[in-house]
Amino acid sequence: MKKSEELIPYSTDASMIEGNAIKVVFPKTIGEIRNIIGKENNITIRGGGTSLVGGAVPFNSVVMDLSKMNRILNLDAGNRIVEVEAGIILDELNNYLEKYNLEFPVQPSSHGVCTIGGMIAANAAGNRAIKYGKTRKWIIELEAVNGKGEVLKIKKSDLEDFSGMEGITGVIVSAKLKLEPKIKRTTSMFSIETLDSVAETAKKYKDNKEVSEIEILDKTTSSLLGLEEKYHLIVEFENEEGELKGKDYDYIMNLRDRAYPALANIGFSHIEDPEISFQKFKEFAEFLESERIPFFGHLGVGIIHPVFMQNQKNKIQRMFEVVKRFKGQITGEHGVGIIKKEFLDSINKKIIERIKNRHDPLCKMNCNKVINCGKKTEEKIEEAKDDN
Amino acid sequence: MTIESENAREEIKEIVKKCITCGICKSLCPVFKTIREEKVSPRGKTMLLKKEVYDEIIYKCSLCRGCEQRCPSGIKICSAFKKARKVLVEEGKETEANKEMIQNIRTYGNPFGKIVPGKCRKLYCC
Repeated sequence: MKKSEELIPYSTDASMIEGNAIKVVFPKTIGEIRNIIGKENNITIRGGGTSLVGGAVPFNSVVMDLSKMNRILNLDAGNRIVEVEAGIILDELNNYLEKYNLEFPVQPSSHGVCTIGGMIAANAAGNRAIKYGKTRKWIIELEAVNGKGEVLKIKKSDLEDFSGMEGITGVIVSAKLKLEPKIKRTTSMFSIETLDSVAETAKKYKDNKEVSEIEILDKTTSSLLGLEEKYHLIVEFENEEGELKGKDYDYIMNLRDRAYPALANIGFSHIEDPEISFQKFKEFAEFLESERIPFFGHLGVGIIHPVFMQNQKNKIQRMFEVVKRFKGQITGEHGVGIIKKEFLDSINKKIIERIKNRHDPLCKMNCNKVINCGKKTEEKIEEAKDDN
Repeated sequence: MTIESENAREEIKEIVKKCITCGICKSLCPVFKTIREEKVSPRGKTMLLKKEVYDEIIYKCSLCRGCEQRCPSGIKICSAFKKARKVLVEEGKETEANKEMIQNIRTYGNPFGKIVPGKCRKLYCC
């Protein structure tokens, strides 16, 4: 196989956006990571390659794949703390923790392939956000190498410099994480005729402390998954209240994970993740239906996933206008990547720019993701050399 | 290119075009879990086939169908890899180990070659 062909698998991620890698490297130690940052000028960091906003897509850059840094460094089962390398896959970690009756509770739909490093970088939320929040909440300490090649121990107060920055400040190498006791969960699925009843049913469970997720499937999604053509609410309980247990529980959870691929298969391959308040859900869903936009999502936390065909840019724009009118967020969990840069407000942009410049002034890491650096990387390097 | 390999290439194109590159197939893949490189993962190899890259890397698959079990789009990934191996053989690009295995089957009726009692033979992956 030609060298250029070997790089094809690294040219995209779950966003289906295609870029081009010039090389791929698999560091196994901090020393190797520092070496790569010292030598290369344009690096794209890759974990599980599950970003839906092009976070791991390289553009004429070196791909730093952390998949081989996947060790569990230390487990303090008594205090429920684990230290892991960034490339470990969430399910692999949870499978290991099972024998200690522990788990890392944040669970994105890509739990079988997403890495802890990627989850930290994106500050991933997932299906159980209603109870467990986002990944950052569970980090005690991070070890990272920034764009200047400095090895840093990041304490709780400075986590925002790396967690949620989508890799633009540096490479997350390892993390010390809090864990929860593993809980036997059950679920109930409600088949519902109207949006009013959906909102009413969800409201009933929303403030229940034993509920860890409330998922909505619209009529189109339900029918694609082989369910009745009605709305479906999936409510997960952390007790015996749910009607479906054991294998039936697993079946429903797998079904929910298949929602996006089922829609993507019939052409709705562009997924969005607006976050709106629970009170606005019904109005928002009515708008989506009037525009014939299928949707599903984490209704419990107000993150809805409308899906679009690739040529429906106008519809997406109209949806963003509605989200803004409802005072919602354009992105609730997928991050900014290269797709949503234009929607960052100026205050957030300035904050991110300041953090980026502090850690990666030469814009070596994930260049032009989240924010534009404004200049070509090479020019920035020359400018910095002159400054020195 | 023979008619058989051309037909197989067409069939493979039809199978892999449904891939949405979500990567969920990697979660049960023993080859990816061992080597931990995207290019040997089911998604990686599917992407190569999408771009019509036929290479012996397609042999880095145990045909266990774990990927098919997980693929949310229901793609018959292993079936595509099997067909791709057919293309490689048709086009004379298969691995040396594969050639030796086929020769052994033709000569001795088994993939291991001449069986000498008490002597362990090299194992091949089909």
